[in-house]
Amino acid sequence: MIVNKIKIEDAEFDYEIKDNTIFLDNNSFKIEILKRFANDYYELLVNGKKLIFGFKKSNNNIIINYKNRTFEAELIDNFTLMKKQMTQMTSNASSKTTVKAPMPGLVIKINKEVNEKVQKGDTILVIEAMKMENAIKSPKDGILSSIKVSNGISVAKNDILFEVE
Amino acid sequence: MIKRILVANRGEIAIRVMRAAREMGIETVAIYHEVDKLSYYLSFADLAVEIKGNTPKAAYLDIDQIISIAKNQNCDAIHPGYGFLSENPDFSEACKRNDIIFIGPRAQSIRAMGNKTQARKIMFDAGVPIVPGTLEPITDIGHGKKIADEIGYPVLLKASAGGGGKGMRIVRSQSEFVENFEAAQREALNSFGDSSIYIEKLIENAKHIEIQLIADTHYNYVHLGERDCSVQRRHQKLIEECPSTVLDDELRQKMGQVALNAARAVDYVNAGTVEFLFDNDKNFYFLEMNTRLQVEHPVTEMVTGVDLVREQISIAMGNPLSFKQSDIQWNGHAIECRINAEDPYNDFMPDIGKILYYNEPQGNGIRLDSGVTFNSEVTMYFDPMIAKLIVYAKTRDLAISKMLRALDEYLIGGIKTNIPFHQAVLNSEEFRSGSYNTNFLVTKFNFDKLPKLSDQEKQILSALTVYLNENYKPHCNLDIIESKKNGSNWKQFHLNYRRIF
Repeated sequence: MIVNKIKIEDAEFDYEIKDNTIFLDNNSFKIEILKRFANDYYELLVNGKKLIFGFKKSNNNIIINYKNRTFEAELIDNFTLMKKQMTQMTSNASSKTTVKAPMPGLVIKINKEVNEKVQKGDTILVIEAMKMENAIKSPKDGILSSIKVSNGISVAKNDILFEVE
Repeated sequence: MIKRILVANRGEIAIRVMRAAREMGIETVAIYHEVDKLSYYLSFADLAVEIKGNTPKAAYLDIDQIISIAKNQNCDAIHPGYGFLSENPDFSEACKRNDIIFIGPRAQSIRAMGNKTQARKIMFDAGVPIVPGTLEPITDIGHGKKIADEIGYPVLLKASAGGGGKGMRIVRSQSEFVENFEAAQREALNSFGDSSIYIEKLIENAKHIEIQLIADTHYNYVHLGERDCSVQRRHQKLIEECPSTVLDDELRQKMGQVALNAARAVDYVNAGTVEFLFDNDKNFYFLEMNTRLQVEHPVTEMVTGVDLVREQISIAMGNPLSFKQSDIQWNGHAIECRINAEDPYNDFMPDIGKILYYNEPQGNGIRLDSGVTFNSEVTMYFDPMIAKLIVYAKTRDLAISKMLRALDEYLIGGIKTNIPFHQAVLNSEEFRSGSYNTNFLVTKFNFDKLPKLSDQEKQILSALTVYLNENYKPHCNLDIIESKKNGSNWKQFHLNYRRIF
């Protein structure tokens, strides 16, 4: 069976493409690109209505932007479905959760130590960014298996801060 | 006479001042740290001069450097904007020493109001009602704890030198005291270089109502009515409006007179704001005085028709106020939303990056004071506020509709903003009724009410995603246009566009 699915938030649709028209759930969407801005933003016509839409693809991640809101989208075909099943199998083996810096900033306090038992919601460390202190909390109960930063260092967005096992 | 003003600030407020100056035929000099070299505000100045510092923030706080640029560039006045050096009495003094007009109050007024504990004493003596709490700054944690026990929980910890919510903490019980006191001290030390804290009783369910006032050097004092700034998160104002739904004319005049008494008690000159806590029984307590122009000054300008920055500059030249108290009337309703680069869907985490798409709201009753535009870079070095959207209409209901329309038109791509949050607040029952207080976001606002995709939108977005994935070309290299300096750019321009589509 050929799978062609699109997932946005909690919604999942089967789709089909013919010419410039997308078919989803018996609805058809005729789409035309009018302009493209700075790579990621498009002015489009969808069934005659003009919309601004952000679309960014890196590797297999798709981030879309609509009305000042950002969503992740996922396209699933036979190949990605297979790949996903495989990675799920391997990732089940380890239950490590990695916490990354949500924004760039300065680590100003570290409350916990490696191998300490932590609970979901415990403040592990504090990052100062844009003049405010932001507490970075443990996403789950477990053991703090590593801390990748130290007090006083600057971190970039998405730098790994610590891992909870 | 002032012929040239150095604007010791950045972003939207620098633009606000430069615009007023231009309307008055006055030249402006901008300052910028390297990270601001491409910032939008620089194009509004007649001249831009680079400043240096260990950090970008430190550069904008460097009094000696800024004064020396002002002298080298023959500036006869400095406007500090808000934040940075605006409430630093040493800066006001340094200007005076160097024969430069400081567009703001005298150093002694800033100093008197800047130390919050001293200000409380002065207000107490001037008969201005104050919130029960300490009259002395506290540095010792044990001493602080003892005082908090005496006042009774919940208490509020505030940086003695503070403002803008930095170093501020609510403590609900004895067990939370130590952690919060330490955090408040750290923030206070980082933001203001002074870790002393004062403690006061937390007046719960109060509104934050402030009175705008302005005074000239000829002892004329005029108040311009209130702003309701009760929509706050972590003591940061997010939405402000004028008039407030809870004030009538009589109370407005009464609070106005109290605010003017507060100003007179410190020999105040220029624009300033006295902030009050306003409880359910319509009691009001002095909170603090901001001895500068405020972020939310536009709402007052909209309903009174007064140009506060123009008036500030005129006062600094020694002119009397251009109006009397009896000239001031409040017409219609104005609302301001602060547009911040932060993600309301993820605990308001600050966001940074380049603005890749930008569409500003326009039309009847809309004012946008923005520090950014298309291709602007929002960095981690400064406050997350990037713009202020202000609307004006005849009634509050009409102003709310207008703001919702404007927010819908305002599209900012590339960085996350709190626009969806504003939409949710303006649609909430609590805000519409006008009965909201400073606890609104903590206790009443339902964050599940942030805009969600409808089923129809989910389909449209899915179709668009499928379509663009199919037609995706990763590189449309617009940079080529900029890098190719020789020859005709037009040819290159067209070539690029052919590649895009």
